Amino acid sequence: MNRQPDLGVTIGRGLMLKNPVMSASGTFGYGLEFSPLLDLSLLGAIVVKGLSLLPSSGNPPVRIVETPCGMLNAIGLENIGVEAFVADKLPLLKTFNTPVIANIYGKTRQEYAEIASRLDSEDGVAALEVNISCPNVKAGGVVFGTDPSQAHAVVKGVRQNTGKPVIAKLSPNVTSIVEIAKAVEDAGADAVSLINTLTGMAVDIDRRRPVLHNITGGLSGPAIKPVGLRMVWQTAGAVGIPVIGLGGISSARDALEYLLVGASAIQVGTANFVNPTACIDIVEGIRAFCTDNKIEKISDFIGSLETT
Amino acid sequence: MSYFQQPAKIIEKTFVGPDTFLLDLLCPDIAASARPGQFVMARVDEGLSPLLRRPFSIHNTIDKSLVRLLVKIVGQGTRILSGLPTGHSLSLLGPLGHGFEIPQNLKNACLVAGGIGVAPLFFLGKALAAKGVSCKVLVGGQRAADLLCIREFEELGFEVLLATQDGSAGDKGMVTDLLADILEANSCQQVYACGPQAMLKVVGVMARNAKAPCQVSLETVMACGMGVCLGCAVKSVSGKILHACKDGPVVDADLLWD
Ligand SMILES: Cc1cc2nc3c(=O)[nH]c(=O)nc-3n(C[C@H](O)[C@H](O)[C@H](O)COP(=O)(O)OP(=O)(O)OC[C@H]3O[C@@H](n4cnc5c(N)ncnc54)[C@H](O)[C@@H]3O)c2cc1C
Ligand SMILES: Cc1cc2nc3c(=O)[nH]c(=O)nc-3n(C[C@H](O)[C@H](O)[C@H](O)COP(=O)(O)O)c2cc1C
Ligand code: FES
Repeated sequence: MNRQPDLGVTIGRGLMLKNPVMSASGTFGYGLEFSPLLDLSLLGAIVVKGLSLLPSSGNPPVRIVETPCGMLNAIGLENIGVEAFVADKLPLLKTFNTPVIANIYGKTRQEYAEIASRLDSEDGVAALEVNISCPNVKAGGVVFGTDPSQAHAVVKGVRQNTGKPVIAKLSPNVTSIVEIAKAVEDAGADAVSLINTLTGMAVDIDRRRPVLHNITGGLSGPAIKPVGLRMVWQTAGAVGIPVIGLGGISSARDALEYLLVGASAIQVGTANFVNPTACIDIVEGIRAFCTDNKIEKISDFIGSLETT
Repeated sequence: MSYFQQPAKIIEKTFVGPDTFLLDLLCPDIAASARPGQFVMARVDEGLSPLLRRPFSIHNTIDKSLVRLLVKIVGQGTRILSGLPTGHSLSLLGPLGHGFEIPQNLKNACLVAGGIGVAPLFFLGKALAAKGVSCKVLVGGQRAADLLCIREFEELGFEVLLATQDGSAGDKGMVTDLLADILEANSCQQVYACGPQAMLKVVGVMARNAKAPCQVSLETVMACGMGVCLGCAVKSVSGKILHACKDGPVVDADLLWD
């Protein structure tokens, strides 16, 4: 058999990807930073840094700290704002023949809806990924993504303001990920992506101080892979929309584990810092695995886990 | 700006003190395009621990093919690096960041190094010497063993002045005390500094008061080194966030301290 395996996947509303590997928001900048190091057109999709309506300067330092097999970050969603993204980044980014997914966030439901409506007219944006792991300032700081009714409301507002595919990005800091996933599916999300970072903390016993200025931060990297896998497996079994899996993926084998438990596609986050060509190395690794195992279509492998 | 990720073979490793060593790495793309003040991100281990790359200034380049690092062992990553044998290859990403600026017609400058802070200043010194800039180099540390590159700077034709806190070499006291005399004599058009944050601040403020322009090389925690994680933020006096890996590591001291 000499035929190349078919790595194509579809993520709801006709968003077709040439392979199931995307960059995760916040770990790949606006994509262009990586163009000296790899061919962006080889990725399944590029998910850019979370965008807000207005530019945001983020949290004071210290913002990151390394932890065993992972890292904590409290960047505070620093970004250039949606207008600067559209004017300065998108024109070049869309020439790479790879779908660009805009990750968006707001402090109110209204802000989410406004960004969605602003990006709806941009043909260079293939889909919106809605980061619901942010505090709702109007509801006293309750994180949108930890309350099913708030998660529903945010996604519904976005849905009503765009014809593009909507991916809801879920927080793992919840008791039941399935409940949140069902709520956003009901609100009209075309897919869900999970997991975002797990809330954690690091302290310095010599100085008796927290390491991060923000005190707590989000844990990412290989350390969180078992949690992500469990949540993706549970969610994929419970919703009818595609699930995009992430959390701790740094190799093709990690990616295949997520696909096996039911993810239709995967994202690579922290691994981009360690190995800037991680995304395309993973594409190549998946291709080699399929060839070696005579898997003609990656879709045949997705969700093929046997538990009995 | 362009940067590369390439496997770099260890050609030579030389200890220059009990916990400090020089590492010569074969990586022509990075060596050929590196400018003084820029750095590399080194992956000290292919496994998951430590996970993140470690930033190191480019201490020198040789024949446009070798990158030389000067590394002090302070923790797990630098300890692993110190134990890697010659012939071993590790992944380097670079050259990264905004380096030192050399103003047109610069005639004389003062380089201020605290401890391992000499690392980027030697590469700068080489460029300054090539342009015929006359330099005074102030090297400070806790004790004599912390003072590095003295002979190398002298070989560039620079005057080297020393200070140690325990008085075991040069003047007893801080390297910034040496700077005070030089600024007072008004004999320096440009100050360049690298060292601990507290030292940089003193240097920056002194230079400002003496109306001498000052560039400092910053150290922060870094995850990516290429402007994407936004973890290396530094707050400027205007409140604007700077990213040490991209806006720096070399920045004008005036941006940081009033
Ligand atoms: C732009 C840049 C250039 C640098 N150039 C050099 C160089 O030329 N030579 C050199 O020896 N080192 C240099 N450093 C510092 C070097 O990156 C750190 O010493 C190294 O990352 C520590 O790794 P580790 O695993 O050994 O220590 P870790 O186990 O990570 O930390 C050990 C201890 O060192 C402290 N530490 C960690 N990172 C830093 C840091 N960036 N600055 C100060 N303290 C730190 C930690 O707080 C901890 O107390 C540079 C840093 C930056 C940001
Ligand atoms: C430095 C950093 C910044 C991040 N910024 C965002 C962001 O802006 N929006 C978002 O939805 N997720 C953000 N994330 C979360 C990642 O996209 C991803 O969900 C998480 O890191 C888990 O994947 P990983 O283990 O592969 O990194 C960020 C993660 C890191 C480490
Ligand atoms: S180290 Fe990642 S942005 Fe500077």
